[in-house]
Amino acid sequence: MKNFSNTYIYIYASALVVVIALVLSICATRLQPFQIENKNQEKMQGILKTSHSDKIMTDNITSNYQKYITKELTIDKNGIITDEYQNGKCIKGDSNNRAFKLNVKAEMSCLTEGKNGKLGIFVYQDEHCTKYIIPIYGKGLWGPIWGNIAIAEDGSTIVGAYFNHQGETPGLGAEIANEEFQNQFIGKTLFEQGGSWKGIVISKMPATAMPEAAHEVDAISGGTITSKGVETMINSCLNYYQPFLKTLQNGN
Amino acid sequence: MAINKIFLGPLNKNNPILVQVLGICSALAVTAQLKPAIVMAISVTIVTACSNFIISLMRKTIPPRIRIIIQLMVIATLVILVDQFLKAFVYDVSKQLSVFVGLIITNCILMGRLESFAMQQPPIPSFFDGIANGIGYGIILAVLGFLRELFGSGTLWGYAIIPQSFYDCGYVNNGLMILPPMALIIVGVMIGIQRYINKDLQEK
Repeated sequence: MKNFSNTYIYIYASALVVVIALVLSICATRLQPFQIENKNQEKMQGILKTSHSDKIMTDNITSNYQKYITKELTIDKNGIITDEYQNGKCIKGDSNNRAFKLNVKAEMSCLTEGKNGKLGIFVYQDEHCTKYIIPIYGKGLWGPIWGNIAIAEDGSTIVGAYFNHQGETPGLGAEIANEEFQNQFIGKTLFEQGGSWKGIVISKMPATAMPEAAHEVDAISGGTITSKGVETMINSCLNYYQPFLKTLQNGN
Repeated sequence: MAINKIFLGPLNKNNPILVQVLGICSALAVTAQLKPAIVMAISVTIVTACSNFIISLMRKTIPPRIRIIIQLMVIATLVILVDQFLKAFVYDVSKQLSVFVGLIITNCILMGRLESFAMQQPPIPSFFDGIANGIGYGIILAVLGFLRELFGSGTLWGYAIIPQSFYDCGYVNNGLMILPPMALIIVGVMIGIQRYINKDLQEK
């Protein structure tokens, strides 16, 4: 076997490193637009799924989104609309604050620290009704969990829920991504009849009698911590939307 | 080496999982369902074939003292490329495979074939050796995925197969099938069956 000199070895290894770095960076930059588009499609699909509309098919996501999500609102923690995005144009405020572009995780941590944060709302509209879809973000057992909650025009009734996760246990915590778990939330209310905030309780033995039953949902057996994570996520995120939801209630 | 001899070996008499006993870890990890098993098999086939081809092209220039590192660099680059392509063009599948695509780098089949074949043989036979080993690996993964998903979840490729009437009679999904140890037992049984049929594989 030919004896390779040390210089040869160093130059060979360095040259290979440069070639590989070139190949990978070219590939990454060329493929990035496709990957970003995929992530956006997934986000749009999550919002559309939350609306529980019978009109939404699983294809043509972008056109369905543009057709049914007529407005994107950005509000501050006092419920004032600071930015509005309609029909592909920003009609109020800054287009950079568009609800679709908001990083929910970052805004939520700003708000929990007491600082100002931006809250996004997606307005779904068809000929029957208007639904307000709110993105939420929280912590599961093994990693982050996130989702959307759709609220009816009365500002209190939940008409759709969508949850997703990064690494919850399959068959246990991962069940939050199943329609069976998500459909439980339909019809539950966030405010009591009198108008005070109640939130949602996810419990192992949910109440069956009214008025408590309107706020309670069955937890996942064996997925206690993930279920608690979902409960905390819904309540702490939606809590910041209370002023906005109250204006919806007063408007009726 | 004749091309068809290279091709037929890994499919049976020299199967990477059953005979060479390589790639066992990923065979246990991704076969709880059929779909990720098939996608993993396709990915491993592509990466093995391409890395075999590239290393075989370079084989006369690689200094022996750093050959393992060079092989690793080539494999890792190819795996990252596959991962980026999956994320760009079949996003839902890439989410199902998530970390397991990265683990292809640690799959012993790749290093094993590079060391024992590609470093000595010319590029075209090496390419076909990679394809054949990938297919041999894929067959075993498909069988494992089929059995584990059918008996562990009652579904195949996500579609429910076991009718509800079975569950009503008291049939229960075999939870052990979803766990890796059962996959190892199934592989052991397959090795036993293969050696019974092919007597020349049995050690004297």
